[in-house]
Amino acid sequence: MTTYFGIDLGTSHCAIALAQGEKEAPILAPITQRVTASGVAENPLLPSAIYLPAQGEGTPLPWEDERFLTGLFARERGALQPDRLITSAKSWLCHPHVDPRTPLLPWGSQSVEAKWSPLEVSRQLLRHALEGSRSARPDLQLEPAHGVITVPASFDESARNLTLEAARLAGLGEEITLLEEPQAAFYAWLERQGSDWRSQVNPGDLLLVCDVGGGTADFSLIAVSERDGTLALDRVAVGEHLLLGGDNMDLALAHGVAEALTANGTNLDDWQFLALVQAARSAKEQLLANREMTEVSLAIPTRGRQLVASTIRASLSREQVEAFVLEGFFPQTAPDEMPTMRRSGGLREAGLAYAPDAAISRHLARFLSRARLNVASSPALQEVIGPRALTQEGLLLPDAVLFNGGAFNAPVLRERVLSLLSAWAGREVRELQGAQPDHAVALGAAAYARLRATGQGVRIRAGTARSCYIGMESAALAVPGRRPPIKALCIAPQGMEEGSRIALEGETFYLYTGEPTEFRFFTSEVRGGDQPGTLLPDASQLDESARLEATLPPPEGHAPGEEVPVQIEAVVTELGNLQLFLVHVGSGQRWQLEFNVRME
Amino acid sequence: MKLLVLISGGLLVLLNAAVLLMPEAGLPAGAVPGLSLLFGVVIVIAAALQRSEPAPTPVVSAPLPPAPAPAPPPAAPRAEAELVALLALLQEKGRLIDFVNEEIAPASDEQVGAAARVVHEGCRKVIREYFEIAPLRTETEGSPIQLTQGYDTAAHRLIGSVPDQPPYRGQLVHPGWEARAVKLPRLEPTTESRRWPVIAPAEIEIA
Repeated sequence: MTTYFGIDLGTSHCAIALAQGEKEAPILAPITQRVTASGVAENPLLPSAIYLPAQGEGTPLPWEDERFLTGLFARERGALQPDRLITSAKSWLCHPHVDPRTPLLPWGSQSVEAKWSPLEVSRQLLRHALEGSRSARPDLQLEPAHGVITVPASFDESARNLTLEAARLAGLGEEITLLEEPQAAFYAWLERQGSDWRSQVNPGDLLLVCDVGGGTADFSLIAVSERDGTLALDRVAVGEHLLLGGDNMDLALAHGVAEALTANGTNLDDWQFLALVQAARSAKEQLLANREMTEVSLAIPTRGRQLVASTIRASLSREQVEAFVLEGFFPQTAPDEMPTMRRSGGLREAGLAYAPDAAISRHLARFLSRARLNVASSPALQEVIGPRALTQEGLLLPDAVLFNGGAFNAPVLRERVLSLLSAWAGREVRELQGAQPDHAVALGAAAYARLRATGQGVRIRAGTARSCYIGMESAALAVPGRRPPIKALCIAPQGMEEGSRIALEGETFYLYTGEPTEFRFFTSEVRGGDQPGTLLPDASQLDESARLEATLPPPEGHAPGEEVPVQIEAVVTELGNLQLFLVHVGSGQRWQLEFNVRME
Repeated sequence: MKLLVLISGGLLVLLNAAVLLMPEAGLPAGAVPGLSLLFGVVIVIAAALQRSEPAPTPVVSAPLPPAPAPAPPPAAPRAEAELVALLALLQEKGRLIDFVNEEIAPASDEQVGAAARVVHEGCRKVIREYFEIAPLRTETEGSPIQLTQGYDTAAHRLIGSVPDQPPYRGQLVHPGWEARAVKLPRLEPTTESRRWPVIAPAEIEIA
C-alpha cells in the first residue's frame, strides 16, 4: 500500500500527515522528538524551533547534530534563552532585504558565535520532521515522489524555490511537490466532505480561504465554475506575506494584563511575562469558546521555589478579550479602510517585517481590493469568475469562507469575519461547513499528494500565483543626478500551469559571456492580465523579488567576454516551481538562471 | 518506590482528613479534588511501575576470570529513573515538588488557590499528554450497581456490609480510574553519574 504524505513546514510548527492507500482518511504522523532534557517521546507537532545549546548541554538524538537541538524541549528551553533560539526561519525565506543563504539566525544574538542561514534552518527542520516520523513509524516508506510540502500562498517564486532547495538538501530528492497552504486547507475540506462538497457551493461562487495561523495570515480566493458539466475550481488571487496571527493576540492580551499589574505596583520579569502569555492564551481560548464565562483567573508563578507565597494573581475578563482580540484584530471597518503599511518613524529596525497594523480586517480589505485589481486586469480571470466578477466597486467579495488556523476554533471570530464580509458585500456571506481549523494544511497536503498520483478527485487549477518580470535598464541619454527608470518585461504570466513552457521568441538580449551577469527580477499579484512580452515602462510599481545571476561560458566558437544574443524561456516544472533559462540564439545552448541574492 | 507510594498516600489521606475534619478551614474548592487526583495518580503510577519492574535476570554461570574487576555501583532500576523523570515533568510543568515542599499553613486561601491553579494546569497538561486516563465505570456517582459472579475484583472495591458471595447490589460512590495508555517519554541514557535524573536543575541567571 502506498503512503502519500504532506509536510506542513509551518512558521511555528511542522507536521507530517499520511494518507495510506487509495481511501484511508489522512492522519497526522507521530514525530519522535526530545520533549524534556533527557526524555524522548512522540508528538504529532514538531515546533519549528532550533535551540543552540551552550557547551555540553543535552545529548543529541541519533539524527541530531550536537550543535543544535529540536523538539518541544528546544522551544521550551529556548524560551528562557531567546538569544540561543531560532524561530520563524520560514518568514526569513521571503524576507525582502536579506539573502536567506547567509548565516544570520538567531537574529541579533549576542551570545551565539556560529549562526545559521534561514535555508539551513529550514533544511534541518524538514530533516528532523522526516527522521522523527521515520523513527516513530519505521514500517512506512516515505517516497519523495509521493510527498508534498506546503508553502504560504504569499511566498514569491524565490521563496518557493528556496523551500524546494531546503527539501532537496534534507534528502527529499528532486520529486517532492509544492502546494500553497490555503489550497491545502481547501483540499482537507474537500477530503472531509467527500462528494457532499458540491452541495455547499454553486457555479459562479467565489470562495475565500482565510487562514490565520500562529504567526502569519494568508488569504486566497478560489472561483467555482462549471466546466464540461462538472464543478471546477480555480485559484484566482493570493495575498501578501503578512506576519500577523494568533501569537499577536496572546501577546496583546498579556501586555494588557501586565500593564494593569504594573499600575498596581507589581512588575513581571521576562520569565513571568512568558508564563503570563501562556496563561493569557489559555484564558482567551476558554473565554472565546464559552459565552457564559465572564472572567478567568490567571496565576503567574515566580521562578523561585516559593509557589504559594509568591504566585501573582491576575484576571482576564470577557470585556478585555473582546476589546483586544475582536476590536483590536477584527474590528468592523469600512471596505475602503486600508491597513497602515509603514510605521511612522523614519528608521525601522532590520529583522522580520511584522505587520505594523494589527487589524486583520483592514488587511483583508486590502487583499480583496488587490484581488479585484488583478481580476480587472485579466479577461481570462473575468471569464472564470463569471458575470459577477466586477459588479462591485473596490473589492472582490466572496460568497463563502473556509476558515483555517487555530484562532478560528472560536465561533465568535468566525462570526465576526462573516459579518464584516456581509456588511461589505451587502449580501450574506456564508461559512463553508465542516472545516477542521487545526492541522488541515498537513492533512490536505497528504490528500493532494494522493490525488495527484491517482488522479481521483477534483483539483484546483492554480498555476503560478504571480506574473514575473525581468528588469531592463532603459536606453536613455545620461543626465547627471537622474537615473533612468527600470523597465519591466513580463516573462511568465500568472496561472502558468505545471509542466508548461513559454519562450519569448521576439525579444533578444545581449549578454557578456564568461562573467557573472545580474538580472533584476520582479513579480506582481495584481497584474493577472499581463502576457509574456508585455513591457511596463516603470518597474517600481512591481515587487522586486530576487536577483538572478548567471555566468555564461561562451558558446562554441565564441571567445570569453564576447557579447552573445540570448532569448529568455520560462518553464514551470511538474513540481510547480518556476525556472528561467537563457537560450543562445545561434546554438540553442541553454543556461539556467539561479534565483540568487535578494535586494540589498 | 514504596516510599513514594507511602508519601503520596499519606498526603492524600491528610488532604481528605483536612477536608473532613476541618471543613471550616476551607481549602479552595478547586484544590481538593485536583490534588487528590494528583496524589492518587502518583500512587497508581508508582504501584504500576513497581509491579512492572522486571524480574531479576537469572545469572548464567560462566568461567570466572582470575581476578574479577571491582563491580561498578549497582545501577538504579530503570523504573525508578522513569518515575523520577515523571516527577521532573510534574515539577517542570506543574511545580508539584515546590508545592508539596512548601508550608501552606500560614498562607491565605487566596494564595493557596492561586498556586493550586498553577499546579492544576501544569500537572493536568502532563497527565493528559502522557497518559490516557478514563473512568472504569460510565455510570454517574450514586447510580445503582449490580456485580455478578466473576466481576473484575481488581477494578471494584466493595465497602460497607459485604456478604461472602456475589451478586452484590450497591451504589456507585466513585467510578474509578484506569490508564488506557501510557506514553511517557523514554529516558535517554545520560552521561552523568547520578542514579536518577535530576528533578529540577538549579537555575542560574547569567547577567
